[in-house]
Amino acid sequence: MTVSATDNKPALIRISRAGKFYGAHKVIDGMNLDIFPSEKVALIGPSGSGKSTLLRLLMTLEKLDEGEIEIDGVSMWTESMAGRKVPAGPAHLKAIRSHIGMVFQSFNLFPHMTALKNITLAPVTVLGMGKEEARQRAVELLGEVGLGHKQNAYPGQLSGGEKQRVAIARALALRPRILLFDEITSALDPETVGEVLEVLRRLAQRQDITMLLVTHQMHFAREVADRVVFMEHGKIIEDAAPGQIFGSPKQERTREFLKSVLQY
Amino acid sequence: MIFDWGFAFSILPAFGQALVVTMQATLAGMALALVLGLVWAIARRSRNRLVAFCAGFLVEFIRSTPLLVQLYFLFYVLPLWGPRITPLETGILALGLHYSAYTAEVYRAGINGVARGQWEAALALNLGRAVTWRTVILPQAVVPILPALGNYLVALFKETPLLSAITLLELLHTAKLIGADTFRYLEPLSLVGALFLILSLMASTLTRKLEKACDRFRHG
Amino acid sequence: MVDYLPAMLSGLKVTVLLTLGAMAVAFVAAFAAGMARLSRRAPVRGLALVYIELFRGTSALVQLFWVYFALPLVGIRFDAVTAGILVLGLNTGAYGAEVVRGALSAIPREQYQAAWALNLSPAQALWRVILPQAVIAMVPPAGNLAIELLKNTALVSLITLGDLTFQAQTLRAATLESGPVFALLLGIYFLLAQTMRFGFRRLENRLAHGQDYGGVR
Ligand SMILES: Nc1ncnc2c1ncn2[C@@H]1O[C@H](COP(=O)(O)OP(=O)(O)OP(=O)(O)O)[C@@H](O)[C@H]1O
Ligand SMILES: [Mg+2]
Repeated sequence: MTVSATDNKPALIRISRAGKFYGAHKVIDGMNLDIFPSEKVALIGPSGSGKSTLLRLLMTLEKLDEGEIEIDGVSMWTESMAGRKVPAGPAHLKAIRSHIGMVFQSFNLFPHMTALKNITLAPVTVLGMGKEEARQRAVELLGEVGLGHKQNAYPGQLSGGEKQRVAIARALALRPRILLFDEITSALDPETVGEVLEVLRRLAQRQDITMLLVTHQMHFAREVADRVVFMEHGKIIEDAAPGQIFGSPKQERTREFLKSVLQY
Repeated sequence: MIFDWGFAFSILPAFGQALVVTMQATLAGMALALVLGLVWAIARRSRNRLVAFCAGFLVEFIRSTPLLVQLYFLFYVLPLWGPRITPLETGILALGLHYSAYTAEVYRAGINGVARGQWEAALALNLGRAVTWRTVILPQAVVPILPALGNYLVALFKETPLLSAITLLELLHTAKLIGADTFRYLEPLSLVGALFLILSLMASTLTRKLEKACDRFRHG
Repeated sequence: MVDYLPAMLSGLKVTVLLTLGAMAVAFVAAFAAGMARLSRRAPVRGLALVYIELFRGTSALVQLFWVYFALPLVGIRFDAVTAGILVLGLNTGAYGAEVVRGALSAIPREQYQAAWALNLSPAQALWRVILPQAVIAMVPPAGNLAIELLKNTALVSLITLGDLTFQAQTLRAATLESGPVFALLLGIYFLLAQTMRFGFRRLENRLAHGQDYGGVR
């Protein structure tokens, strides 16, 4: 089922037999998924199928219960200490996280900081970047997302679309190799969705970033993704190129799901 | 015998020094309560269960026992362990400790009021626990609770008369001494009551103003 | 220490008596002043406000001293127990009045209107419709106030009333065992407070069954 194993590059993200429970409810169920460098993968599926949970597992916001996740060949939740495998400590997780950034549905900007401060905070405190260098870079990033004029605005003074663009710039400031996007346009007014998608479109051109995005907008998934993963009940049902998934899906469930969402 | 205004005015200056002592105890006690309360509130969220439980128990214990008894405990027992401290210092310690149990609850409410997404964004940015607390969580937690902290400042101020029980010459103790000297309790005690009333009414007005300002800060 | 047990027990009795007596006074004062604050008549509202601000604006200990030491000089004399129950009760009642007022004004207007539409008299509406709903919101803060009251009873030891704290002070003077005596005293107050907290939780749970306004929310 996996498509992109065509080139011989090793997987950047390797998820094997992954399982996650909430109480007795298994929300990720024996999942296997390899994602290769610079791939742009769209995750689709019905509500409650575990898409957000998968991204949250990758961001270490949730702990994995079963199986394994490897980032660039390094196990996420275990580290070896004196030749033995032990549960990952804070330093190991911090190192793993340094490859990964995330943009949230609800922005989660820090409301008491300006757009600029939101972006410089992590480079200064995490990467130890100089204040002036961090500032210059933040100004650059704000320019890239079309908000050069909003440096000193507080999140409360920005529209939804602007907030989300600041959030993207903030995630980019740490230069992650992997970027996770969880329905980042669902909380937006229809007229501001376009400006955020435009930023995503440009990011999708970059070879140095691997993207994993959850979206309910099929036309957008089709346009930017080079691979679409359909999941349901915590399992991957189909994993194929957009043309295939949206043109002639192999699985009956995929067809039903697409039919129901494309009606609207 | 009715209220003697002349006598009342004649003893007014005697309360000047006592008012200074009362203010010292109030401000230093509150400063201690603000610091200790924050410590308890953060300890209660510790990932170490034992630390979290102990902090929770401590807060509950301090909150359910009388300040006067805590005051006696510190006043009579601390010297047995060695440290020689003045009644004022004992009073500050007791007030600070007692009210830290209340400020801890206030901080807790403020911290719980910070959206989950803020913690998650901080983690996604790899900020680390100390930086997250200092730059993301606490600045957002503190502003909404300033009025509540202001109310506890007033409450603490009104409990300073208890320090008279450990010989501190604050307002009430001064009134009692004047009463014992002159056999007139009505005027000095009424004066002290009036002083407290005026000062707490003023402080409450300020707190309400602060509340309005905080609301504006949050919604605008 | 066993020799002193009777003294501590009599102190416990005084503390419990004071707490219960003052709770009764506070209950009456809180409802009277809390409802008066919502009265249509300005003088009634004003009177309630003066009472509340007077007792909340000054210190409980100052109030106690004033009633016990100053009032006799103008001819009003109370014994220590009465003074204690009265002052502590009125003091707590002033805080309770705000609780009552808050809970009453939190009941949606529609409830008053529905009672009006059913032709209930104002008293009937209050007693049968409004209060049963408002009381639920009053119980948790009332529990906190009751514990504050219990703690405040220690103040009466300063007007030489033989409560727990007073007996402990006597005991300390006699034995010079400050540490154990006061640790024991703190422990007793803690247990009393926990018992009260437990009682108020039970009350809260009993009252909280199935309340709904029967409309969309
Ligand atoms: N913190 C939690 N506690 C308990 N159950 C949870 C929790 N978070 C998610 N779940 C459950 O896990 C399942 C998967 O949730 P998830 O958020 O990953 O779905 P999703 O595919 O992102 O859905 P949507 O499209 O609605 O965002 C759901 O059944 C959800 O109810
Ligand atoms: Mg989701």
